[in-house]
Amino acid sequence: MSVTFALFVVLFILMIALGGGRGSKSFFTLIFNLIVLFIMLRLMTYGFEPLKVTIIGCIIISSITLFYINGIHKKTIASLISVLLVVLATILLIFKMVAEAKIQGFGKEQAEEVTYMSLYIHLDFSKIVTSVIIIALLGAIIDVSISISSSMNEIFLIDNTISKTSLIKSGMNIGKDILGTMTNTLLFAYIAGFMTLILWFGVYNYTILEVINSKVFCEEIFQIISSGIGIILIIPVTAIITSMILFLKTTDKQKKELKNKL
Amino acid sequence: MIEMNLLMIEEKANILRWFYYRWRRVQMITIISDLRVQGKKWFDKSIKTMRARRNLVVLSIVIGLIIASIIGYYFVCNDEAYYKKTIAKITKVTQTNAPPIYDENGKAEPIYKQEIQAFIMNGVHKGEEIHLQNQTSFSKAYDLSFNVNDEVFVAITKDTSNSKQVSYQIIDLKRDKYVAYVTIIFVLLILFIGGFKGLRSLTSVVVNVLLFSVVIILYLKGWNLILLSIIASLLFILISISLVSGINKKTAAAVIGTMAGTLLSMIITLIVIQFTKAKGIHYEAMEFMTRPPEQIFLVEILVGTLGGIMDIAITISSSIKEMYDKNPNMEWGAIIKSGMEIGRDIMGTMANTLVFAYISGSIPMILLWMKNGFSTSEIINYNLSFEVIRALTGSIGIVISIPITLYIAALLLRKDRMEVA
Repeated sequence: MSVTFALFVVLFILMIALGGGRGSKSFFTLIFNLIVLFIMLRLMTYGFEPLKVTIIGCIIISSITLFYINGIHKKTIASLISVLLVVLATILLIFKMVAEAKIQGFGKEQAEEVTYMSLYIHLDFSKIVTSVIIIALLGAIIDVSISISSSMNEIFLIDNTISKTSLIKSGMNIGKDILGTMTNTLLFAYIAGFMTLILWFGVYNYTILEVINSKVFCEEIFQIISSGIGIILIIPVTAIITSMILFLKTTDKQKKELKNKL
Repeated sequence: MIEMNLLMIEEKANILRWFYYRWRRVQMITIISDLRVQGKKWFDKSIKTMRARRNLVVLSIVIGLIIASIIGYYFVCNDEAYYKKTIAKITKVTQTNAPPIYDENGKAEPIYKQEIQAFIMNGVHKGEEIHLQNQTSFSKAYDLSFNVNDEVFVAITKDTSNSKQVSYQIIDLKRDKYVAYVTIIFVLLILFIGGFKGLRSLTSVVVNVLLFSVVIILYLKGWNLILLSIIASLLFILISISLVSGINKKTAAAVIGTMAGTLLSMIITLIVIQFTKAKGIHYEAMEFMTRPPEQIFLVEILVGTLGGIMDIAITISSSIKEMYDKNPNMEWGAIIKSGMEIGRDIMGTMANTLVFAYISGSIPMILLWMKNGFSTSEIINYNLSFEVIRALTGSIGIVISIPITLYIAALLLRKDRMEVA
């Protein structure tokens, strides 16, 4: 039994023991998402446009994560729309910069690993880099978005008379609370992945200027900071979209109720 | 009669006295309440001035950061003089097709040759116009395709026979400008949208990154990695959690919960690695390896799980505090039950977050392997194992710390309630 498989089993047992049915749902979502991700990569190698594959993949992954765990509901629909808007906004924001900074593909520090490979593989790596950044932040923005929209839904259920602006405000407040812990989660995850590279720079006596200008470092920094930008952008977007959808539906309901009363 | 009168007088006097006392009391109360009102006004005023002061501090920090980013941006755009390496700015690019390269399946990869004109921006040759050559491909996996206005580092090689004959070669692109761009966008966005809380998150990020660099420097100086990472983890936990949720009992519960959760998840990981005899971990495939990988991988797992566990611990301990605040007499069983409910809510999406954050980094390598004809199982075993193990241990840490933090927070915060009562 390999380590990976054993860890999968441990995680599955823990999730079921703790969460019961919801736990197994969480676990299978994880597996589904991994499979979707793998299919996305396969499609990219078959020559499909990487950015289109990424956007469609994001739609599928966020739908699975949101609807399978939390059910189809106003709050999950609001989250899905917000996640997609932020994915598109981030692509627009970073795509040009990534292309200009030329951080695609592999750096000279990875030369040893790619020596025996053919590097001319008919895949535009400057687009792949954008896909990588989007996929990295996808999980985080789904997490933040569903937390905000479900809390806003709770508030709306408790206080039906709440105004639209104060609902948006409380959504923003919840988002800001999450911001602190979420940046930590991502930061430590990235720092862990970053360690060997930083050690490499230290062992081979890179100067700070060399580090800042190197391809591999820039790629990591772009990934970290873009994730940060993603989780900041998702806060106001979710707050606004959720309140719009909640109010949209209730005004219809209220109209129906009024009609019934009349 | 006289006695009656006396009695009446006494009664009247009593009533008068009573009224007098009553009046005194009312007056006292009004005086006290007046004082209270005044005091409250003063208190409000002082709170207002405190808030104003805090806002002033925050505002000055924000303005300072904005000014710093403008200066930083200007500096990064004009910092050629600080580099020892020669930097050239590209003024003209002429691109021509070169013979394509065919792969095993006979598919052609377009190759381009670039003739580049540029001028040198620093050093003794400053202002000289130079000609450079570059070769690039459609994939651009290892090569770079240059455009006008790009700034590049160039190497100067002098001919041994004729010292005046020099040739130039492109080494790499100058990228500091772009790092500055994204950093500035990030800082401005987090301040603009996150406000004071955004500033706090930013501080936490900066402090943690500084702490991390200290750890790396000390390790390179020969300190023991395991000891270092344990100390650093304790500091990471203390600093991050108190920056996010202030210094109070809630924070204490989250800190203890995180420590216990991290410890337990590390023990589970170690047991699994021992039990499976590290089968399926190809340490030789680890990227950027310079030191013995086993220890480093363990430390990576430790650091990687910290963030997620902290997130869980803070969320759970704050929700338990909320519940106790709303209903101090809430029963133990009810608290545990609703805490578990919250844990179940966040567990799935958190695990997802970690999986995507980790696996995304290895996508370029996976694509390269796929295109070079490796099978899916080879790719998963050889290329993805580290990322998947990190993501899995992180998720296990998240799940295991839900009950741990829950019980610790419920115990600690309940004690708090009883003391108050």
